[in-house]
Amino acid sequence: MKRALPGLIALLSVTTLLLSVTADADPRDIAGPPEPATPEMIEARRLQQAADIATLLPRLVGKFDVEGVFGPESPRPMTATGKADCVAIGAGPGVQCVFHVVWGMELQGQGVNVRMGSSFLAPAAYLFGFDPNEVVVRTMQLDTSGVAEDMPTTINGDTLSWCKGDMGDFCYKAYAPPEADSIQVTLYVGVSKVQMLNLRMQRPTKSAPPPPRTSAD
Amino acid sequence: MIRRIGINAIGSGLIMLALLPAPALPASPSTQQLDEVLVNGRRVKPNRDPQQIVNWLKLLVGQFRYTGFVEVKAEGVPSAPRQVRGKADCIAFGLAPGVICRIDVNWPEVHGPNGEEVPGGISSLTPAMVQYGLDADRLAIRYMQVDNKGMADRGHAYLVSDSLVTTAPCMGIEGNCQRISRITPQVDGRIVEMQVDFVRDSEPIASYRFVLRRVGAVAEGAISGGEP
Repeated sequence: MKRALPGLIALLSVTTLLLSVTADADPRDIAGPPEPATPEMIEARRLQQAADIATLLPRLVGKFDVEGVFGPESPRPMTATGKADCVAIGAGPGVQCVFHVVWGMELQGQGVNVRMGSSFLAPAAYLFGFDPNEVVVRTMQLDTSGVAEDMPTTINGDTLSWCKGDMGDFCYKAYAPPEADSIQVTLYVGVSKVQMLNLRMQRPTKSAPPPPRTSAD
Repeated sequence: MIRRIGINAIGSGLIMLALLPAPALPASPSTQQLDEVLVNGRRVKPNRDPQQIVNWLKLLVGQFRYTGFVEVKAEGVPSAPRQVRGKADCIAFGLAPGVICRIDVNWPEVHGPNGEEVPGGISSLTPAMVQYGLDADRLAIRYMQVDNKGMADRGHAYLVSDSLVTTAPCMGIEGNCQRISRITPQVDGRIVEMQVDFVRDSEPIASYRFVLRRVGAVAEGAISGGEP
């Protein structure tokens, strides 16, 4: 008890100090709600988002071989392999990507092969488009179970990020630099952003250009 | 005379009183003049049974031909219905399943008196892609459509009396504009009716009436999305 007393006193002191600081704070110092966006600001944001989506999304279009690792930071990472097919929707910047990527471990015993681990990208579809009303990029995921989720999406330079969960529990980041033959896709999980999945989407032949953007078919 | 009529009203739990104007026809033994009609509105609860939602989604799977018409209601624009032509190819995706539709729907263009674009005047569905899937959190159907300009139209909707009814802000149309859509597959899955109404400041500005006729057999059960 005697040992705990100084700690308790210190804690009370800090609490008191914090309370006094809060009480003395000028209410004008507390940030109020953000200023409402003016029509000019909204229009500028709309144009920027439209330009970003028109620049980045077409880089995703094409057929890819996919290789990577599930659980790269785990003690037993698993190899992931598969394919991805991203199609343009008409002449616009909208894109849909279908992944069919599996991972797991082949365990052999008594003549029977058992695959451990299950993929949530076998298949999974992602539809990307631009919401002009809210001036944001939108992504809808259809996962392996056929369950649909809306995923808030942002574009930052050459990186497209789309997240599942209000707190960004699952966040995909696709790094697609211009004229690159491959796209790096990483799935981060949780607040600490642990890498769950690291994929490299590679165009099958280096010289193959992206298909013409004329039709979704 | 007061006659009571019970109806199933969507989204309304109120009792509505409708006062009808007296008809000009003379009363005869076979017809009665009604002074008032009381209409009981009863809220129809959305269907939140996941299995029934999935069964409904399966009715969308397959290939379809589009017919129907589009009406544009704008000043100085001929209001004649425009004939619709098109097709849809909808595949089951995943286990539930979700549904992915590639659609290509067109109608003769119509412009405003000065050549300007008017809502519904030009099809942006040439082509477009739509995804539908079970929203496991809301026990609803989540959807997103991306048109040939990359514009995303999205949201979630509930099944009400076998219809998927959505009300959402119009996409890219200024003012207080709502887009009300209703998708109703027939029970045998041969025909899917779609109607979309664009209403701005309580005035209809465009309406789509699509009839999707199935080409081939009705899909049975879920089909995996398969490898690309």
